[in-house]
Amino acid sequence: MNEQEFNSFFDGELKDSDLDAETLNEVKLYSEAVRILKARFEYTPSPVSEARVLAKLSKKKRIFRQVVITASAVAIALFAVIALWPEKPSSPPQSERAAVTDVFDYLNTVRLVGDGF
Amino acid sequence: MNSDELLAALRRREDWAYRKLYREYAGKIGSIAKAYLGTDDVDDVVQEVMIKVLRNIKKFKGKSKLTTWIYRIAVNVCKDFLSKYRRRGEILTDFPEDEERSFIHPSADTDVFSEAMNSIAYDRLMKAVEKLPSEDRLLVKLRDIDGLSYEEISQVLGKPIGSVKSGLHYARKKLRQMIEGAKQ
Repeated sequence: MNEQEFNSFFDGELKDSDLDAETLNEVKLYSEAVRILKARFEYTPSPVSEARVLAKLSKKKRIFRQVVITASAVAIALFAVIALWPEKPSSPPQSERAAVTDVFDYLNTVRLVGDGF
Repeated sequence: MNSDELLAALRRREDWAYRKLYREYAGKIGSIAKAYLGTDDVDDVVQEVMIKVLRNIKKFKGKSKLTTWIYRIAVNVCKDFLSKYRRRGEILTDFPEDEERSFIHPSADTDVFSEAMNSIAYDRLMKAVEKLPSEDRLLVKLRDIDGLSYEEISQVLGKPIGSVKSGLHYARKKLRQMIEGAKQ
């Protein structure tokens, strides 16, 4: 049997008329075996299996959607809290602080006078 | 409906696209798994492949055919299952006794060679195929049963075309020898 011719036939490079009798026998025997193997390897998915896979995928999709919704809600809530948080009371400006100091100095002076300075 | 539309719908995670992809490819994936693992119980493999395909569909750049990309994932998942089974020491090949029913008997107009083939005990042929390494069974399946080109097989297996060719020639030779052995 010619090994190269055998493989060339299956690669579509040779026709069966190009083969010698012995190689042709091997080709036919091998083709028949391949036909049996094809039937042996055939797989028909069951509807149960399909439902199981699709259910699993929809569950993942649902979980993903819920995570996105939850994350968006948390982000909105956080933004609202930051935006509406009451501002820290600011210290009086420099000029006001100076005026207050002047008032207290004046009152101290008045107290000293009152104490009999 | 072309494959671009299907891909776009898959990327949008549309249910109908999931269903279509499953119906189109589950049989092919299962068939690859049966050939590679030598077992009939391939539902888990099909399920895992489908989930991996749909989870990674956005990563598919379209440099190869969608079929080739899916086959590649299927082969990788099969390899994972095989090593898992081997770690557990499980025997994979199972050829149920009622498998005889799926045996294709040659039709009336087939020639003497088909009759010769028919004389080979089915069980003996299957036992011979069991002995064929997984990679060899896969090569025969992809090339001689599914008719993939060498380039496509090389993409599926991640091997150079030369290695695919020589591997297939060797696998064919071994299978032929096993057929001869089964005849005797």
